[in-house]
Amino acid sequence: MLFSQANGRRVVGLTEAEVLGSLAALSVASAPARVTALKLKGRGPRDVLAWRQVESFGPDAVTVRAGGEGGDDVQDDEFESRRDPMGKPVITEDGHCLGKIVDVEFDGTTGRVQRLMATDEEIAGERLLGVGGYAVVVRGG
Amino acid sequence: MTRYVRASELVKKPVVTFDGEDVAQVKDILFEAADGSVRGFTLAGRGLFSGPLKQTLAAGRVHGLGPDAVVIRDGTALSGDDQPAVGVPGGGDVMGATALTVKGTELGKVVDVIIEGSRQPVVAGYEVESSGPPRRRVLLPVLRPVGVSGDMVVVPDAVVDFAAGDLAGFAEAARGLRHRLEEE
Repeated sequence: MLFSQANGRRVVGLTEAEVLGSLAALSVASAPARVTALKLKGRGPRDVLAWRQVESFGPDAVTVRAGGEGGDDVQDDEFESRRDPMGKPVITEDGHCLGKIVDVEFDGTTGRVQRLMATDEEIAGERLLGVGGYAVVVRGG
Repeated sequence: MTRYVRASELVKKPVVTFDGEDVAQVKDILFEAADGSVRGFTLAGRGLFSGPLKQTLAAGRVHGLGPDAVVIRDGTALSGDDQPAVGVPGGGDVMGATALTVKGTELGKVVDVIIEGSRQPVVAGYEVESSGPPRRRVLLPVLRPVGVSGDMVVVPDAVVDFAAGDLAGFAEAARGLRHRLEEE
């Protein structure tokens, strides 16, 4: 699943049977490289979801078990915009810039990040060292 | 991808952690007075209005270094205020020093230091501007200078045969010199 393809897709809460918003951004962590949270755009009260709430990345909608009432399992702090890799420069561990992140390929079931697409190179997810406010840092030269 | 970078190009480059945060930027490069090796870096903050930092970065704590960034494992690589700084700028600063061969030929003025930085930064050579005319800049691979001071860098005679015009050619020149020295 490419983020560019999933971006803007409807996010539907299964228990509410309602559109909660549309997918707007991902939060990515390393070791292993994975999507930890989603940011939504829309009119709903919640605009972030933890990855574990995702039921399925369907062709027409992302379905989530957000929980209507309690919402205790919603941890807003799991989405950090500084952990959003899109548009950030990719720096290798030996100080070379490989361009900026233009897309992220991830497994819609597990959330594993398979590939990071930079302007100059495609990078395997295993090479990810970290995503921060300034850059995406990757192993290898 | 070149492993070599000019010292002057490192100034203002971000110091980036594995976590992707730019914790500082390079303010100045510190050289060892005795042998001209890279000792570490003084740092400045990253903000538009942030000034110099008290923290420094020792060469041994650098994970990798290239034309776009200095990479460290995490913020603990920087020395705290309580630790001694890695040195004061200018100690082994060879900028403007005269490059002289052992046999006594003056090659010109040192205008930059070439650093090999895929891992811990080490000095790999010097950019020298000949007094001319015509003024000409060449990159000289110097694996180990014979002597270094603020006024003069004495280099082995063999480096003259391996002068390079740019950083791309420098890698080849350094290899050539290493090969020659191994043969001797």
